[in-house]
Order: sequence, then C-alpha cells, then structure tokens
Amino acid sequence: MDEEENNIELDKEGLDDSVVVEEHAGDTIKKLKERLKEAESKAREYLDGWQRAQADFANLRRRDEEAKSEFVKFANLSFVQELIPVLDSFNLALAHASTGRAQVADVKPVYDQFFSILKQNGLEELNPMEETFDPKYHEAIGVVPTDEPEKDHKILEVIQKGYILVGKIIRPAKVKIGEYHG
Amino acid sequence: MAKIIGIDLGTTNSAVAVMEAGQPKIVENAEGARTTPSIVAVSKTGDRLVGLLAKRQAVTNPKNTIFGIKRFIGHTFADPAVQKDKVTVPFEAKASATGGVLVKMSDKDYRPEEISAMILQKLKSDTEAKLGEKITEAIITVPAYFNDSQRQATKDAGQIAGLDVKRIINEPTAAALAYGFNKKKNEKIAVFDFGGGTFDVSILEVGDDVVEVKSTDGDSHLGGKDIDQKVLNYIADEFKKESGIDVRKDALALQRLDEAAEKAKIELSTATETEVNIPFITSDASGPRHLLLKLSRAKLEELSREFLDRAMDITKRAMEASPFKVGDLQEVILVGGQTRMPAIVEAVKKFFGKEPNKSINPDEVVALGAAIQGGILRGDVKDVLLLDVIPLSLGIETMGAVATKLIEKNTTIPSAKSQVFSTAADNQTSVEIHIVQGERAMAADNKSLGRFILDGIPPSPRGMPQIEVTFDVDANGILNVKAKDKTTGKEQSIRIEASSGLSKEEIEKMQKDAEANAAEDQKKKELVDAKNMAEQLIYTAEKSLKDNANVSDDIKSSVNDKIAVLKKEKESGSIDSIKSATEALSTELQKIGEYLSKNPPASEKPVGEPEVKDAEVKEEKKDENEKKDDLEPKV
Repeated sequence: MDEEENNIELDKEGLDDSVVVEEHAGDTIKKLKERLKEAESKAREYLDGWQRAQADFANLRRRDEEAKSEFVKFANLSFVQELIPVLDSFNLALAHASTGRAQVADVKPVYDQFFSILKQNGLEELNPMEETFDPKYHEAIGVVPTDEPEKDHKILEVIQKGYILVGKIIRPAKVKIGEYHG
Repeated sequence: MAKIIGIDLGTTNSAVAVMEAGQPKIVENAEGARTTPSIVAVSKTGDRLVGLLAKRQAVTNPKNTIFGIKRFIGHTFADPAVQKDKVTVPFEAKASATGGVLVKMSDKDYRPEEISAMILQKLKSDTEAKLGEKITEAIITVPAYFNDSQRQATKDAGQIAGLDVKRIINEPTAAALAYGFNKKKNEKIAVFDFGGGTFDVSILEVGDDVVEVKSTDGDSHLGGKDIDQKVLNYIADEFKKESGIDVRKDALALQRLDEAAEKAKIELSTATETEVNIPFITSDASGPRHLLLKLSRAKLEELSREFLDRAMDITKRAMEASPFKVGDLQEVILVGGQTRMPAIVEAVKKFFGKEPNKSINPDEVVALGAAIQGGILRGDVKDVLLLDVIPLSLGIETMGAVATKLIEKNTTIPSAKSQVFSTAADNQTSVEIHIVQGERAMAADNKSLGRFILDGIPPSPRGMPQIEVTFDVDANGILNVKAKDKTTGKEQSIRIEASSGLSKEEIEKMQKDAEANAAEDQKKKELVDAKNMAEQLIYTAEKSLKDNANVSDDIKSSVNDKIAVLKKEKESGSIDSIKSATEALSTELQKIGEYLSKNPPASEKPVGEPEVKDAEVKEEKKDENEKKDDLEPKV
C-alpha cells in the first residue's frame, strides 16, 4: 500500500496531469477513492475524539460545579456550628429577661461573643467616622449641612457600620456626609 | 486570536460574557459582581466613578450621577420619550446643537454615547484584568425596538470605549442564541423580558441560522423595582397603622426597609410565606419599636397584580402584532430577574399555553447569548461541537429490580461509562442486561429501552464473575450497550437508537414523575437495599455453616434460627425489622469465628475468609444482582 502510494507520487511528479488521467485513469481513481475513504474515516475518528474531549470537559466542569456547591454547604456547616453557642447565650438572656433579671448591659457580652466568632472568621468592622467619604467603602444615604469647610465631604454620621470579609467589602458603611454651606 | 466579548448593556445593569472552551461564561467585574449597575458619576473630588461605586454616592450627588442613559441614547431631544424622561431624572438633560441629547455631569456636557462608553470602558478593563488578555472586539445587545440611530449610537459608544463592535444584536435574539434555538428550523419563539426597570416582549422566527424579530413591544418604565417599591410601601403602611410612625421619613429605616422588602420578594419566589423582621426599626416615647410582619406569596401577588396585568396586556399586543397565533409558538424564553416570580411564570404559561424556558439564569442569558454570537463570528462555535445533553439518566436493572444509573441525566454527550457487575447466585451462567431510562429508583417505573442476555459464564460462586457493562452514547444520542465477561472475554451488545426519541412533553413528564415520587422511591430503594443485604448475609451464614461443620450444635442451631427469622422478615418485613434481623444474624455469626479460634479445626482452614472475601467483592463491584427467585437471575 505504502509503495503504491509512493508510485502515485512519482507518477504525478514525472508526468503531466492529462497524461496521468489518460494512461492510469482507472488506477488513479481507484487509489484516490481508497485514500478518500481512509481520510473520511480518519476525519470521523478525529471528530469523534474531539467531541468526546469536549463533552468530557463539559461533564468535568459540571461535576466541578456540583462539588463546589457541596463544598460551600459544608463550609457553612462548620461556621454555623461555631455560631450555635451564641444562640445558647440568647436563650439564656431571654430566659433571664422574662423574669426581669436581665439588664441591658447583659446583652453586651452576647454581642461580644458573636462578634469575636465573626472576627475569627475574617470579618472586619468599618466605622469610618470623620473619614473622607470614599464610595469604595462607604454608601452615602444623606447629607448633613455644615458651616465648617473642613467638614465638607467628611463622614459626620455612621448610620450603619460596614463590614469587610478577608479583604472584600461585603457591605459598605452607610453614612451621612457633611455638605459645606459657606 | 483575541476573544470577542458579549455585552448586555442594560438600562439598570450590564453584564459581560466570554466564550471559554466552547461555553459562554459570565465575567465578574472588579468588585466581584456578575452584573454592573449602568451608572456613571463624577464625584465631588473629581473622580469618575462607574457601576457600584457610582451607585453608592448617588443619593448625595444626584446632579452628577447619570443612570438610565439607555433611555436617551440615539434619540433627538425633541422625542416625546426624552421630553417625558428628562423631567423625572435628577441630572440635567438638554438639546445639543444638532438636536441630539446632552446630559450634564460636573459642569461638562456629554452625549449619551459618551456616558455609555464610560460604562463599556469599565466593563472592558475589568474583563481584561480578569482574563489577563487585551480585549478589542465586542458584540453589544440592544432592545429589539431600537431604531437605526439608537443602534448606531450604541456602536459609537463601543468605539469611544476602544471596542471594535463586530455586531449589534437584539436582546431577544441573544437570549434565543443562549438557549441554542438558532439551530432549530422554522421555530417561532416568544421572549418575555421582565427586568429591573424595563419590560420587553418579542416574537421571533428562527430559520437557517437567521433570527428575525416579527414583533416587539414593551414599557421602558415597568420592572421589578416597581414591585419592590409597592412592597416597601405596603410594609411601611402596615407598620404605620400599628405604631402611628411613618418609617419612610427616617433615612436608615427606609434603607433597612428597602433591603427587607427586596429580600422578602425574593424569598417568596420559593417560599409561600416569609417574615419581615427589622428589630429596632424606630423608637417613640414608649421605647424601641420592632417591625415584624408576615408576608404571604398571595399578598405579594396581589400587590404586584397591576404590573403583571400591564405586562400581560403588552404581551397580548405584541402577539397580535405578529403574523402568528399563540398556538404557533414552539418556545417561550424568560429573561430578567423578576421572571423568577412564580406568578409571572404562571401568567406567561397561561397566556402561551406552554411551560416557559427558564433554565439559564435570566439575569445573564442575554450576555451569554452575545458571547455565543462572538464565538460564532470568531469560529469558536462549530456546528460539530454544539453538543447535546441527555435529558434522562440511563442505566440497567440490578438485584431487587432496582435501576442502577450508569450515565446520569444532563451529561454532555458523546460520553461513555463502564461498571463491573456480578452474579447473584452460585453457578449462574447467564445474566440479563435490561436497559432503562429515567430517574425513578425502581426499574419498572422507568422506560425500558431494550434487553439482552450474556451467557456462557463459567459456573462459579455468586459474586465471583466480573461482568463489565459499558454504556456509550454517541454525539447523535445513539446508545450502545456492551456486556463483557472478563474471564472468558465473551461479549454481547445492543444498539438503541430510540434513546433520544422522546418528545419534550414525555421527558418533562418523566422528570416530574421522578420528582413527585422521590420520597416514595427512596423508601422502596432502602427496602430493596435492606433485602439485598439480608440476602447476602443469609448466603454467607449458610456457607459458613457448611464450610465449618465442626462448630458446636448449639451454635449451628442458633445461627439456623436467626437465618430462618431473617428469611421470613426478608419476604414480608419492614425495613426496620429486616435490619434488626440482619444485625441479629450478623452477631450470631461471630460466634462461629469465636468458637473456631478457641477450637481450631485440624485442617487449619482460615474461617473468617469466606465472609471477608464476599464483602470485598460486593464493595468493589458495587452491585450484586438477582431477580426474585434465584432460578432466573439477572444482572
């Protein structure tokens, strides 16, 4: 087979096309047909391989997504577990409150307990009082008129604290900013 | 070659997608969000802000914060729509020398396309940062009703942003592309787009890769935000009735209420009732006040009724303006976050008389479709590589008439998978491979696709032969199933062409059946699993008794008693009684081992081994199989 193919190559090089067609028409057509068949079957094989690789990739990606969402669920689980003691504290506080024995000050340790767990999980508080307003960290929800020029565009009221989780702003601080009326 | 990105340049939010390994994917912006508010501002310090940052300072800088610029782009200032909108926006809009629109931001006038360009510029640079490569080409989507001048202005915006806009395509067309409907022949499709601030509905005709918009209608001031506002007002009114305090007057309370209203609305898409809980929302002479209100889905639907009715009236109008009747449509696509609301899905379903498509994230579908268009232009998306997924799982019937899945539903094809099974009885010489399709736990509840028998298995103890079953679904959905005895190399196969021959309705019905019966199926499956385990243990116990004839008679009789109990429970008992009888036998069996370690037999035969070996075989092969009686075992 290989030899024959080489022969065709030689024939082609040595002779004019028309001569090849005239003298070896039957042979050439037969051989070309064979080659076409071979090429077609190769093409099918490659296409199938390509499609399968592509489908494998799509399936892999889907499984990866599923695994990821499973992982997220799991990650939540351990975090929620850490928070359960805070619920315990609240239950105790409520029990005391119903007997009138809990003071406002008794809420503070529960808050501290809650916040320290969040802090251990990477939460930072944003309390940008007096800072210059920066929409990267702050959301303006109103203005406070001021006659002191240095207070213009400064944060004069923090309405709600903002929070950063491991470097990412998960909620900007909601603030009111000074507006100078000179 | 650089990628062509797809951009959904929206009135309220924009999104970017790109083709990655043949699939469109949303690109997150610098803030890590999948959509970017279409807002531009110049801050008091002179910085230009785009997106979320511009939104965060909008309240205190309203004159220099431009939003909804899409409502102005490509219009003349004299247009009635512009005249109407310009009075409602807090920034200044005026006529240009040529009669176009100019908006003022920080003492400078901008054409709407320049503002849009700032949004596009951010999307472009964020995408470049995320992908780590330079982006120069884009597809941008526009509403179907955009005229030539609006389209040209959008294209110009792209150019100003440094993008070569390869094509401007219609948003509904992009949605149809995302669902792959461009490949269908002569399909008629409705696209129902209920976004945050605008509503559009379009009727499309698809044929030979050409998507034609037959009619389109909409309301540029109708969206999810209207529903949020209505919910907020309802909650505030209820609270006022109860407390006498109007919390809308307090900026912080209003903020918290706004968040709570949207959260409640979203929750009511999946739950039928939710609780709006805002502790310490305000205070009066009597002390702090908390807002606590139950909101039902029915109430939400009542509140949104007027908006839904308006949307459906417009839909009716669009349908009438098209050359088709409702019954001519093959597909309905939902776009826009608000279409997650069950009442909207229901209204659309009722009007069109068919279940709408909503499997692709409605906030992202337009950008994804634009990316696909980019991929087509770039030559990424080749016909041969538009791969299908199988809608229903494929598997075989195994021991206890359970359906064991080999290829899970939603698997992209072509795909192949094989698993090794074994026999359920001693000296079983043939196995029947029964191929089933569907999600139900029991084989009989699924669709039977075909069956064949592999015989000539050399007689051996149950669990010993290794029968490798291979499923191969090719790109055309044709399923080839092959079973091969690994010992003899003997194999048998079947080719099933009809595995993809189910109609959409049939597939949906099967999927729904599976969902509806999930709990019951799980119970059935557990029962079968318990029975199979019992069966396995009985076999092991009987074999142990036979292999170790020298154990004491009282152990023999007590094991036999337990075997008898388990056999009885296996036939008629509940899951729990089978499990406890299995456990009882298992405990009893250990006595054989104990006895033998104290009284080793002369032959030194390792006693525990048959048990251990069986257990191993079972694990490794995942399944052992039989039918109800051992006489006619099958895989």
